[in-house]
Formats: sequence, C-alpha cells, structure tokens
Amino acid sequence: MVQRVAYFVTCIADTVFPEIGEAGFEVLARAGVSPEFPLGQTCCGQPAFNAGFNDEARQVAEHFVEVFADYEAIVTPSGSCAAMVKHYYPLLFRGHRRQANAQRIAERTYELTEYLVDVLGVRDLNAALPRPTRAAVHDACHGYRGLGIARQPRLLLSYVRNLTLVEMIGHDQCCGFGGLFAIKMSALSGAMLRDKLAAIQSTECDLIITGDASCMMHINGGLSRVGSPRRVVHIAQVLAGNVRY
Amino acid sequence: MEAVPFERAVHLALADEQLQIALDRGTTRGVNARLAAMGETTDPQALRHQARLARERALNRLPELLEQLERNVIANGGHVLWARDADELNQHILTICRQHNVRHVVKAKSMVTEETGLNHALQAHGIDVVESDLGEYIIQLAGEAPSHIVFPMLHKTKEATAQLLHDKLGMPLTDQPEVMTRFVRGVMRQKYLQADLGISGVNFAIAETGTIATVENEGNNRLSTSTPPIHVAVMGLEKVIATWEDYAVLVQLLSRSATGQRMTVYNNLISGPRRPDEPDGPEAFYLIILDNGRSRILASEYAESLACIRCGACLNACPVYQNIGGHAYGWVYPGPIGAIVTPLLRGPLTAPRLPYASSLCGACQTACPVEINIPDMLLKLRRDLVQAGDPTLGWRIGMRLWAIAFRSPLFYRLGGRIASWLTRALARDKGYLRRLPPPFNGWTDHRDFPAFGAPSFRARYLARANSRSNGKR
Amino acid sequence: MTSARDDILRALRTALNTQAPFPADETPTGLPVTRLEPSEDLVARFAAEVERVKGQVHRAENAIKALDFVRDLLVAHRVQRVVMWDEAHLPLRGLPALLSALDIAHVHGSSAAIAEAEAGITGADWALAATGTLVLSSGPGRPRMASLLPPLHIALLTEDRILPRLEDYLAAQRATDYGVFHRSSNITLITGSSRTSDIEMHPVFGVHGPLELHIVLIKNPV
Repeated sequence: MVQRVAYFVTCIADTVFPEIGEAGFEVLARAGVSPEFPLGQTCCGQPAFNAGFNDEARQVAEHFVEVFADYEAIVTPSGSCAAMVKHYYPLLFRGHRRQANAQRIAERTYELTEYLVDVLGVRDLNAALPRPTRAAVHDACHGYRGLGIARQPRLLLSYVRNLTLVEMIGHDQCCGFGGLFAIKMSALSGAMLRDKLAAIQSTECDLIITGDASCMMHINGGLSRVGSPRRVVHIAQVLAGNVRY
Repeated sequence: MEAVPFERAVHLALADEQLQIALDRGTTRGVNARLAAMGETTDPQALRHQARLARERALNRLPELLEQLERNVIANGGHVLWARDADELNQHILTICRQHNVRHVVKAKSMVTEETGLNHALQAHGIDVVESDLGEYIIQLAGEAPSHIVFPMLHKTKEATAQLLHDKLGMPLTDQPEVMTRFVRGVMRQKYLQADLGISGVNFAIAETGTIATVENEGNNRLSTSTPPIHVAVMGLEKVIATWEDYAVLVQLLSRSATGQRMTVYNNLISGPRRPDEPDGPEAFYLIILDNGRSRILASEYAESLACIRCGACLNACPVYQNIGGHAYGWVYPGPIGAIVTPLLRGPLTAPRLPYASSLCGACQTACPVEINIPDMLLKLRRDLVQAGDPTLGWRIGMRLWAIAFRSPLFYRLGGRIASWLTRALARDKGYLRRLPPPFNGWTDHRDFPAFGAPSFRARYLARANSRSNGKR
Repeated sequence: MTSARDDILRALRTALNTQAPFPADETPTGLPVTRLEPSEDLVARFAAEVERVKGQVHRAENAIKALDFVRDLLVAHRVQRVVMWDEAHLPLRGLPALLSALDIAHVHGSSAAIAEAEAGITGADWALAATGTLVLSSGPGRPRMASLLPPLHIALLTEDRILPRLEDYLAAQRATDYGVFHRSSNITLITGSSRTSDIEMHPVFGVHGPLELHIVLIKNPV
C-alpha cells in the first residue's frame, strides 16, 4: 500500500527538540515509508484551543488544513497533536467553509506508534539501546485516553534490544503539563509533577519513555531541578536507535 | 462570589500536610475500590454504556417522566411540590414546618439541600436541623463544609474528630473510631425519636411507580425517613429515571463507582407515606422537585452534565482533586463535575478559574460510570469565558499575536529562531534555564526550562535535501 | 400567574423542542451487572456473599434446628426485649412460645419502646444470591423498625426465596405489574450490617442501624 504520507513534526519537535523531529522521520523511513515534509507547516493550534481561544485556534488550524490537504496519511510523533486534529478539528470547523477538508484531515491523521503498528503492521524496527537498560513508559494522557494508545508503544519497545520494559505505578497518571495549565496553574502543575517524580523515583528504571515531547519537557524540567540523573526520552529516539542517557 | 480566591485556596491546600495525607489515603482507596468493583462485573464498558443510555433516555423525556412520577407519588398518597429556585425550595419546607409545628428536623444526606442553603434557612426560623450521616454530623458540629461528595469528612483526622466530639458533646477523649461512632449513635438515637420531620435526598426517582430510591451504609437514611411523622424528599429534576431496569444498572454502578461496593448496606425504595395498615413509617410524604438552573442547562450544550449520578468517582481519579481536596472548589460540588456544575448553576463568572484548573487529562471521563465527557465541557466553558471577555487584555493580545505568528510559516520560523537563540544564550552551557521572565515564570517556579535545540528540524531537513541534490550533481 | 410546576415543565419542553439533546435512542440490552454462573449453587453463593459483608448465616436443616439457632442467638446476646414481625409473616412457627420460655418480652408500639429492644426478628420477602442481599417490604405486621433499631437483627429465610440477582427480583415485580410498590411504602434491600468509613476510612459497624445481622437459612421441608 503506497500512500502519500506527510510528516507533521509539531512545533515543539521542530524548534525545541529537533532531534526528536529527526528521530520520528528516521523511524518512518526505516519502516519503509517515504514521508514528505510540507515545508509550510507550523502548528496544530492546540495551545489556543485549550485556552478557550477558538477563533485564534481555528486560524492556525486552517493553515494546517491547507498545508496537509493532499496527503493520504499525516503522521506525527505526538499523541496530543494527533488527538487535537482527530477529535477537535471536526468540532472547531463545524459550520465552517473548510468543514469537509478538516473532516478529511481528521480521519487521516495518526500518532506515530499508532501508524506503525495499526496501519503498517510494523513490529521490529531493528533498534537497540547502547547498553542493557530498564525502562518504563509514561503514557501521555491525550494519546492514552484520547486515542487509546497503550499497546502500540509497548509492542514496538518489546523488540528493542538491550531494553527491559517495566511498568511504573501511576504510568497513566497525568504528569501535570496540560499546556498553558503549566503556567496558568503552576502551583497545581508543580504538585502533579512532584507526584510523577515520586512515582519515577519508586520505579527501578534507568529511563522513562513517552510519546509526547511536551510531557518529556515538563518531567525532565522537574528531574533536572531536583538533581536527578534520570531522564525521559521520546519513543521515536529509542526506535531510531538515537538516544543518549 | 468566591469566598477564597481559587489560587489562594490551592496554596493553602497544598501546604496543609494533614489534608495531603488524608487526600492521598482517601482518593487512593477510592480509585482502587472502584477499579476492583467495576472490574469484576460482567462487562464494565458495556455496563457504563447501558448506564449512559439510561440517563440519556431520562433526559430526553424529562417532562413526561416528571409528570408520570408526580401522578404515581400522588396515587401512593404523597404530595409533590415544585421549586423554580433555591429560595422556593426552602420556602416550601418552611411552610411545611409551619403547618405541622415542626421544631426538630433530622436530615439524611442531600447535596441539593446544600445547594439551596436549606439548613441556614431553617435555623434562621428557629428550627433545629441535625445532619444524621456520621461524617455530615461531625462537620456540622465543626461548622465546616463537606469536602467530598461521598466522604464528607475526608479532610478530617480521627484526632481532630475526637477533640471536636469532646469539646462540643463532652465525649471522653479516645483515638478509637469505634468508640467515637458508638458515642454518636447514642446521641443520634434521641434525635431520630424526637424529630418532627425527616429530610432526605433522592438518588433516583423511578417514574413508573412513583418510588424514590436512596443508597446508604449507615442506616441514618432509613431512620430519618421512618421515625419522624413527616418525610420530605428533595430532588434535582434530573434525577428521575424511566424504568426499574434502568434503576438496576444505575444503582449498582453507583455503589461500585462510589465506594467499591456491589450494593450499599441499605437500598431504600420509598413509595409515599405509610399505608393505612402499616405499623410504622411517616404519615405524610412530600417530594420536592427542584429546577434552580437545570432546565436552562438542558437547553444548552452542557445537557450531558445532567446525566451525573453524583458517585464521586471523578473526584478520586482527578490528579487536581487529589492534590487540593474539595474545599478549594468553593462550593457544594467539588472535583471535575463541580468545575462544570458550579459555573453552570451559578454563572460562569462566579467561578472563572475552575474550568482552567485542569490539565484535561481525561481521568474523570474514564472513571465516570455514565461516560460524561467532562474534558470537552471544560474546554467549552473556557471558550465561553473567553467570549465573555474574562481573560486579561494581556492574554487576549498575546493569543492574537500568537495566532498571527503561527499561521504564517515565515513568522513562525522567525519566532522559532529568535526563541532558540534567546534560550541558548540565557542557558549558556547548562542546557537549562532556571528562571524565565513573566508571564512565563510560573514554569520555572517548579521546573527548569530547556534551551532550544538548533538548528530546527525544518532547517536540518532542508540541509539534507540540498546536500542530497548536490551529491547527485 | 403561572405555578412553579407550569414554569418548570414549560422550560423543559422548550429546551427539548429544538432537539432532543441525545439523538441516539438505543434499546437497553438488560445486561446484568453481577457475575453469576448459570450452574452456580444459589444457596452456597448467597451464604458466601453474606459472610463477605460480615453477616452470619446459620443453615438449619429444619424448623427445630432453626428455632435452636434463634434460641442460641437470643441467649448469647442476653436479649430481654424483642421486636418481631407477626408470626403470619415468618417462615417459622413457635417463636412466641420460645420467647415466653426464655422470659423475653415481645415489644410493640411506639418507636421509643422499640428502641429499647436488643433484638429484632423478621422474615424476608426474597434474597439475592449474587450480593447476599435480603429484600424486606413494610406492611401490616411487618414494622420497619424490627430490622432497624435494635443492635441485633435476626432474619428468617427459606432457601426457596433465594433469587439469583437484583435484576431477577425486579423482573418478578414487573410480572406482577409492580404491585409491591403500591402496597408497600418502604422496601429495603439489606446487604450486611450498618457501617461507615467516615473516620479516616476506618470501617466501623453498627452506626445507626443494627450492629449484627444473623440470617437463619431454613432448608425447605421435603
């Protein structure tokens, strides 16, 4: 099945963590996909949408809908961005002249591990970690509850050499990022982060793996602040065999 | 309208060590109990869906069902009164008290009566009101508000409880919950036997027979509605359901979701006052149906919130509630459902922070036995607040500028390059910033901020694409 | 001037006139909530469930054994006063004589008088195996207080009254046009003893209702 696949890198993996952007692209290439990268892409509009600014969100989303119009699949290394497009674009564009386009885009957007496992049927990406490592998955909320992504990352990780997967207690407990919530309600966000750090602390693992760069940024910010040597990495980096810890 | 501004309430709650211990204990137990109890049903997801459908059927037919309920209550010998708002409800009960010379009222748990401030209204007229549920009684003595829908004194330690009972009622100090409970049982006995009127809430009102159903573990609901000569049952109009089949699935999911029990100790099915040939029970039964904004909600895009069966599962599952408890929400209904119901019933600008007090993680929706999509409604409430002009000018301008930047590839790339350069310059070699300027300082109050990578993914992609095409030449 | 009732119903009808808020109108599947194997022994399941909720079941082969159990309970709890359902509503004969023999008073009348009784003896309409639940309805000769005020509740039940689940009980009521809800002002489903976990989530029994629930389960006469 040869589809025209577009890669939506996301604003955060484009500007803050370009190595994650590269890893996601590399993983798709290894899986036999020739992803295209529409150069005009920017953001899915989620930050404005989550803050209640629907008009502003729609303006940015409209650009997204134009940029990705001609592809059969749009793949992104982010559960929250994928969920934004799949669940909320149809709502955001209800009654809008772009409604049909937005609906089509929503149906064709996938999170990376979801696309690899459920669409391509990929399992083994021939990946390895540099040394024997115990790792736990942090299930990022929008991918986990919004898109039902839980089995797919674990399946892919089970084929990664030198990796022993363990389950973290509270693996599906929100890390406290929540977009602008982290700033607007920073005390609450900080409290939830502390709970997540405690869960990580009580899990015997060297590494935490997640599917959302925003959770990663938030948790690593906390780990760094308390002087912990542990880090969270993005699953794309693990699957691309390009991760340092 | 907020007694304590939300941010301040959050800080107080986070700093309260006793509260944090109690919340940890209570919510962990609640979550584990629910998971176990739902997990052992025939099919948890299918049952949640059946429960949802039962609520939807009822809401779709609310007026007919309420009329059928009324007919059947009257046929059973009861009276039905209707209240448009909180004052009307309180007035109805005051009138009943006057007509029957009521001096002492005993109450079983009812969130609706807290919504209307009934206790204060009765006490202002010299009528004595006693909460009969152990937890509610203790916080009534303490002059506090309940902090959880199901566990009203979740925030209180046993030491504080013993001290309170000692100070107010002369109980000898003890650290044994059994002893404290035995003491209160003795005190309440007199209240039940002395009371002129008993008030209860309604968990479900079954239209097809005019029966009100309540769930409880203590027996205080049975007693409050059996020993006094008058029983007044108070319900939000959304509590009516169509059939006994609906009752079966809803009441069992309620117990399993609220306390992890298959059935609560007592499930009471009350159909009017005592029959002429019955040896005990109240001689008069009143059912009061309250609107207080619910019909307005039914007409809105928030109608789904009326499906709630007040089980408290969303509270236990919510990482925000787990950290701040119920009082911080500022009103009768705490937790995720409270964050929606409070602005809807009282007006969005009375609680402008509540819809933002969520990371939208969705744990509430997953826990809800009737599949209420709380995150979606929180998003809509945020949208409503923006449209009502709530955010500050700074936020509105900031968002406008953000949208301009992010829908233009050129401005987006430029902004990205500037931010990247700035963060790397400020972070120097550390790779992290310890402090961000306002309005972003909230981030660095609790965690470090990374220096952006460089160049951007897009730049790297282009560089590789160019070198490939160069290589080809 | 319109009444509150008129205003509320009108507001609800207006709300629903534009569109029913929930368009899909799927029919209920009637899926029962509790797990129960088709071949499961209902009596054994019932007894196990009652014990799970800290009630006690005394299985009596016949009426004589049942009376023995009742005697033992009354003596062990030093009962002097009992509130009891009328014999006509009990599945066991001989209780008034037993009480006389033990010099135990049978209390009638006001709740205040009944509150002095140390034990309440009742029958049960039905029992639900899946949850260890008793179904008691109020009616002539069947005071609510008997299963509510005294600290000890003794319930007499024959095995043939045990139904599988709540859904089965309600189906049986549906088959009789729900007459029970018109005849009886109060039906209580009792599962275990009065309890609370309000104080630091610590379970305590006998809060306002009975402290102990004893079910004398009588095998039906052959």
